[in-house]
Amino acid sequence: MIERIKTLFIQMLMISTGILFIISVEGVTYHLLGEEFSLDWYHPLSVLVAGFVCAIPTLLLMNYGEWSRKIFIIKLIIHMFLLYGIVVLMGYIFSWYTRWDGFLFVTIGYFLVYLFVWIASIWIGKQDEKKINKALEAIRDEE
Amino acid sequence: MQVVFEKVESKEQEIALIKAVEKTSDIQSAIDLLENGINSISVTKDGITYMCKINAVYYIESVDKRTYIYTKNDCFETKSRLYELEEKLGTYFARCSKAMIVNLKKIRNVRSELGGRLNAEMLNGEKIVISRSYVKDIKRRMDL
Repeated sequence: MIERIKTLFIQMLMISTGILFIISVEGVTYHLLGEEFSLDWYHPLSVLVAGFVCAIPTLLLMNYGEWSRKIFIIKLIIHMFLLYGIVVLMGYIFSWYTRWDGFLFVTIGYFLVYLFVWIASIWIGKQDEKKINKALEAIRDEE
Repeated sequence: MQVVFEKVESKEQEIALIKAVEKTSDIQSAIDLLENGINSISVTKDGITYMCKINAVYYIESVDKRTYIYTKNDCFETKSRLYELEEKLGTYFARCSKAMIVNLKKIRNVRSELGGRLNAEMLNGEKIVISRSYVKDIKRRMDL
């Protein structure tokens, strides 16, 4: 149970950081284009709430159990679009975007961040693989 | 064989160094005893009880509340529960899923999979899955 709460908290922070990154890029772009961009008092809190809501399906779909590659890919696609739906809905409720271009920002940003997270986790996995294989060489029994 | 004992101040400093021409079965038993606290487990197969050497164990699996011990070419049953064996066995026996303990010394290599889990190929060619949640513990056991 504690492990699950810990995972939920870590997921919440990671997703919140991703959303914050998208909003930040949106803000910088508006500023560079000379357009007005401001955040309301509830925006930082809304990012945390969205992070928490997104962390729940992440925990349920992606964290526990052992599945075949096919099931994993199906779960991944469901997860990607479910989170996208939550982010878009939260963005609408909390006014992260008010115009279509803002919506486009959130959409493109979301898929870029999602792709980046998976590429990063595959890269980390490969690094772990190398380290573990090297360490296994030192302890492996002779057969 | 000459045996030297040297007292140290803490558990972290404890180390056993064996210098020998070859790793005989006696030396292996001594290693198992030092690493695992025990050097064999009581197992059964077809109603006959055997003592299975720890260093022969590839992995241990719990299926329907029964515990099975897998060696290179054989499978035995033991009365011990998985958590009891986990407590008894040494550093190189690591939990790799809810129902399995693997002997890290018997892994030929690992391959990372999507989702953070690892596929491990054993020395006898068998393949097992190391769940994502146990990778961290395995890395810790290998000082990574």
